[in-house]
Amino acid sequence: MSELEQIPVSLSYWQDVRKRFFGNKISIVGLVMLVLLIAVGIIGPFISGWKYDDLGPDILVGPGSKGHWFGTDDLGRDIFTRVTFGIRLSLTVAIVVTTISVFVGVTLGGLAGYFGGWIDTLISRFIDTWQVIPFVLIGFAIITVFGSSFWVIVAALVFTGWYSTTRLFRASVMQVKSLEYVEAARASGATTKRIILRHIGPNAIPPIIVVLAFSVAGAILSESIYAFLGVGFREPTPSLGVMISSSRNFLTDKPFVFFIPGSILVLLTLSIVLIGDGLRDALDPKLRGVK
Amino acid sequence: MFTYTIKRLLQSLIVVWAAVTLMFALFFVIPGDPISLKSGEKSLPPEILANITAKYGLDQPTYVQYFRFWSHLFRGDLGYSYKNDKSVNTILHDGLSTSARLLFWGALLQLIIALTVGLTSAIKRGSLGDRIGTVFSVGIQGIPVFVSGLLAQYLFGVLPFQLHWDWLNFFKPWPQSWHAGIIPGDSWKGVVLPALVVAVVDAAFIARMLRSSLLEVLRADYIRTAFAKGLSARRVWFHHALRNAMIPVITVYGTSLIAIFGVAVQTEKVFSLPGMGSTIADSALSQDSPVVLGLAIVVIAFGAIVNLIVDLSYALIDPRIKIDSKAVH
Amino acid sequence: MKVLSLGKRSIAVLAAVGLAVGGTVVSAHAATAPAFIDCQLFAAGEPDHIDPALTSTLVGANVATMLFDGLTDTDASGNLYGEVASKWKTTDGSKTWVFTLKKGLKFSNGESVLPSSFVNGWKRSMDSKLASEVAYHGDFILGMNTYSSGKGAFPSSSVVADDAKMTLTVKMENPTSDWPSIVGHSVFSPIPTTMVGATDKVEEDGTKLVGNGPFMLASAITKRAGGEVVLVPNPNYGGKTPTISKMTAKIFSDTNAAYNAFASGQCDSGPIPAGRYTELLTKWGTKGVKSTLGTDYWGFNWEDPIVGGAKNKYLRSAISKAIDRQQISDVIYQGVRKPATGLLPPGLPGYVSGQGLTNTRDLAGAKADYKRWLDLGNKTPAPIRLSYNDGAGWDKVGSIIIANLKDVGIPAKLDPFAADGTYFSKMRKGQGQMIRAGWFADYAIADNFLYPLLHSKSIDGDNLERYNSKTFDALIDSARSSTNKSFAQSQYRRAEIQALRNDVVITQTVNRGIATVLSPSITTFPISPLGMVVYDQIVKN
Repeated sequence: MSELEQIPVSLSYWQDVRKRFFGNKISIVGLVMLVLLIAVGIIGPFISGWKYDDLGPDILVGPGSKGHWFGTDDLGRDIFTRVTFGIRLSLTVAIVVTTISVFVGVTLGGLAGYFGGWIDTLISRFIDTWQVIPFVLIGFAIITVFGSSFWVIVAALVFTGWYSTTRLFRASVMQVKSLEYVEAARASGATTKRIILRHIGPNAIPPIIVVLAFSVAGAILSESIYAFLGVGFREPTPSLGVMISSSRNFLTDKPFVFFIPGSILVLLTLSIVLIGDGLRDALDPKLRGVK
Repeated sequence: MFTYTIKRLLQSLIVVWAAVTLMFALFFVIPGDPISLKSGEKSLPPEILANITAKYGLDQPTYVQYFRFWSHLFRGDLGYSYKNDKSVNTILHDGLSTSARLLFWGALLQLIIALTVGLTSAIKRGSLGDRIGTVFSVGIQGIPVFVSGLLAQYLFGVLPFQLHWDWLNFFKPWPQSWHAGIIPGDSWKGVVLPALVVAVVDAAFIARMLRSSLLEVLRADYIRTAFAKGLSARRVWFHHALRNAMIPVITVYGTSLIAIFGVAVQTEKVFSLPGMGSTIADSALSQDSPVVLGLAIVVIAFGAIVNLIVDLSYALIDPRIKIDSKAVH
Repeated sequence: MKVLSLGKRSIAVLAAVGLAVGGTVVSAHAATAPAFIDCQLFAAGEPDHIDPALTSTLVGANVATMLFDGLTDTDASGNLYGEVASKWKTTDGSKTWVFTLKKGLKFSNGESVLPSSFVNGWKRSMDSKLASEVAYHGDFILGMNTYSSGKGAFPSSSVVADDAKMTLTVKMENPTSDWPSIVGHSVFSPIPTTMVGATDKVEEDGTKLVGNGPFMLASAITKRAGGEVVLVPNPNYGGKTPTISKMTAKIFSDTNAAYNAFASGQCDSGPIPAGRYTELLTKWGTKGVKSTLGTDYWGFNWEDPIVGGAKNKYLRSAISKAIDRQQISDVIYQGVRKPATGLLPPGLPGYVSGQGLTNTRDLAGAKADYKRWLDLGNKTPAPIRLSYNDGAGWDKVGSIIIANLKDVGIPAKLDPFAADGTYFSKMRKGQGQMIRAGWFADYAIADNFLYPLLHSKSIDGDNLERYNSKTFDALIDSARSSTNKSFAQSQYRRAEIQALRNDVVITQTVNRGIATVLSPSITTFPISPLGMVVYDQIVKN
């Protein structure tokens, strides 16, 4: 392959990406699932006829009975309404957390990956330090002291998420940097700015898009794990993790209280993972032309 | 390689020191006075609090506590729980033995699943097996551990119990006695579900990584050359392809080993196992800082060692890494 | 393996002792009486301590009371009786108490229980070096606080033992008519001379914690899930021999695990996981259900500008009338905790029903009171914070209250705190608005509720509301210093009305209760009002 073909800034590259993405059945399934879930999250609360903290008289009634599509929980609250709010909450938290984490990751990872040397050592060892501390513990420390409000939880999730995006972006910049054509450009006397903008940047964008998708899924999972362990959102906030956690006692005789929020959480993360997967296949220039 | 190893070793020590210090700050300095937190529904009079504060040496300035913490640590003394005066060493021993058994069986299952799925789907790319493998490994990524744990309890516990299918009921108590420390002495079924839950998450991830890494390597020129030279497929696969495909897999495996603590916490909470994870989580919630810190040190050291090994094996497999870092300095 | 060998050894010791004292009774008994396995006691994790000098939890104290007999105790119907003491009297208006001890009682190692055994026990439990959380119960004794805070020697002149006459004379700091009840607390247990100076780790060695109770410790792997505490009958016990030959309390990491062990036939008793009372009590029967001396309530921060002080009484009474206690009892506790009508729980000596503002929900009254409060020039407040410590189901109680208040038009929201310690220390500093609280009796007396919870001297302590009323304080002070029991009780009653009805500083929700599931072979399972299972009187077929 010639050097020119490897610089993916051309229109044809993105057309190609689109074609590849929409040609992938699995990622289309993911996209449709996500769109449906978002639609339910937006419209659901308006059509359910209940509020998420309304305590009805019917406790633990099954799906479909007494005007509750998904049944009620142990306080008589409408599970459908709570689940729709849960989708909204999960996505909001995940998008906020991902935006911040990716911003931090691109900056630090880019610096470390491109310049190498002591900057890389410093940033990498800093990452190592954070990474060896179990993320659950950082969450526990922050949330037991500062309480479990929205922004504290976001902060805890960013503190535990920034380094993986940084690490991935650093690795991807290093990989691109060591490609022959970049080395060739450097050898031919191109300026740093030109190398970053023209050669490394465009090639490092696809990984960011993929990381973005996986970070959103990761943040949704982490948020629910915190809630499950008792350090994330709390009642009556309708977080999917909170709902699953409090369903544990009813697993034997009212399993729907677990299965409904559980499967919504799984479908939500799964749809995003599938999209991310499709994006990765579609964006990876090295896979072009290989079938 | 020797200098590189020494350098990385020193860096790891600094990382451990920094992480432990950070934890000390998070759990001993920021929460303020930990003993006043001992008062629950019934408050303790100031004199009683003073007695307890003195007993744990918390009447000393922070820096004295910090140095004493390290000097005790070097003597192998992790202190005593605020909650019940139990030696943290004992708590650590109990928790570690449970977690180690869980993770051993989990890792074994994980390796088997990951290699089987990863290799099958790479060799037979596009086949039905590959498709099933892909769906399976993508699908599993969307399921958090606590959900798969509860799901497993339902499918292999509640449901068989209600249907009287006793052979399928794997929701049994964790074994109480062990042969050679690792083989369940009674109720081996109690190990299956927790270990499977631990294994499945990262097995899928590693299998996928192995598959895509193998596919990438297979397109590389030297593999084509190797095939062109007429080398046997087996030799190409195992000598060239697998070896090179292992680099990203090792990184991922290392990261997954560090993240295994998060998996352990959830698994142990869901299955009520008295391991490291559930003990740290419970102690953190009740702000029993000596227990949190004492157990966290082990988790931190474990993470640092895994990181070190990953980096060193990285350098071994791909000598360019080492040369690169030399060239820079 | 360790458990097994310890168990075998203690059985051998038991048999040997049985032969030595000519009591073939003991070994015969051990052969015929059934053993009892308990999964309920340590269901939600480990006990803090089983040492009577140190334990501050109900489950720990339950074991301690089986191992140690105090001077007095409270029976299943709430009456005080002498355990080691045969009688007691005061000659100077409750300032000095003289206890006469029964003769011939022995510790499980054969040593006699003497008045000096109590002095030794108190010296140990109140020692500032032992740093016991429950040492403050000794503060009723003249000069004991100086000793327990490490500022002085043990007040030997306040606790005088006469081993020849078998009397123990105790001088009090203030007149304390309830002292005979208070001294039944496990922190006042006697110890044998072998335990003098024992550290806080003595309980971790199964055989060195030696008491005078119906049981003795055979082995203890304590403070960890998977561990167990094994009690066997004390061969030297002076009272009635236990009806069971062995009591094994297993330790579980949580109630679900413990219930599952019970349900699979591993134990004779088990706990009920939250929200499954109706289902499981229907399935297993209600023999293990008992009301205990505790009350749950919500307090109002007396210093808060919205809900506190005399000027906001109508808002508080509106909230108090709006709360549906029956709904809380039905939905959350499925009847195991019953709606409360006052702060003092039924069964407590001097209890009178209906001391609170209202017994049942009064929605019309709540709306009227809220309107009155608004008419005073108040605006609809920002959502009132319902603060609570997370993880014990209070979020659900709070959710019900919020829905109750919504019916009146009072906005409210949940305000959870992740850790118990943080929650209580923040509330003590006056950072709450509506405060989740509850109390469980240390000893069965009214003062144990009213003084620590509402007296102005308990501000910064258990008076989470920071309630400060001269009228209330005066009533309590006069009751405390009175030697006339019926006058004291009427003063306590007036104080309860002052706080709950006149000032509405707290609003009660439910009385506490214990619910245990029992295997069908258990026919008698006595639980004392203080929440202690009387293991020596369990009947198993």
